[in-house]
Amino acid sequence: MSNADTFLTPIHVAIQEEPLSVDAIWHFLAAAEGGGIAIFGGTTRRVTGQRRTAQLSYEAHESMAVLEMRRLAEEAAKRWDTLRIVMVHRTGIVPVSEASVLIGVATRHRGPAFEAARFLIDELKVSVPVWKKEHFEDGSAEWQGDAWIR
Amino acid sequence: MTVTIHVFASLREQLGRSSWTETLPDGTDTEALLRHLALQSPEIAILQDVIRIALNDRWVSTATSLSQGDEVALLTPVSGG
Repeated sequence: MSNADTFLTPIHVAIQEEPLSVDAIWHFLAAAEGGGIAIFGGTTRRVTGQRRTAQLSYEAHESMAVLEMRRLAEEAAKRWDTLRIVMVHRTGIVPVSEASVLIGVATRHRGPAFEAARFLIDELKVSVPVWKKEHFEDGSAEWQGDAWIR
Repeated sequence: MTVTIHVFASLREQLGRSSWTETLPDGTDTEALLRHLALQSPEIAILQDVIRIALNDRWVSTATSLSQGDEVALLTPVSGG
């Protein structure tokens, strides 16, 4: 179902260095008084292939990243029957198991919450200007997305 | 005209700076700017085919005319999330 009230969907987007708070996001989404909330968290993975990660660090083109996240959230609000949307991405060091990104969607019914959250994280990975540097336990480090120069 | 160039992440590290200004002939567009920068910098030249440009915080996918004071970002493939 499309949402005729796109611009009535409150949207919160942010880039921040501080740890991300699921509680704060839940509070924002629950205030919609809808029937469902989906929250996706992207976290720092310990093992990728044969390599063990110590931590990730993230860098953003901040002014553009918040505009791009808002554009994506507005697109989701047009496509699905959403009540509230939140997208927050962390920058700086993110230790293993901590969240680098949280995406949350509040809806009247559960289906659109899952679908919109999936859309938002997939599109964030394509078009929001944020870069991840992987720091391995062996002391090496590399920017992800750099496969084209190796 | 003068525009400001911004780079991030691996390109920022390779170039050793995050922003600088370029003085360009009036009428220069984003594609001509990228060619101009690639001639000056081997680091940019090797990435020329994968760099995407944002103009004043918006993606531009085709050659777009620049204006005095524009903010141009040279963006390597993103890897957030």
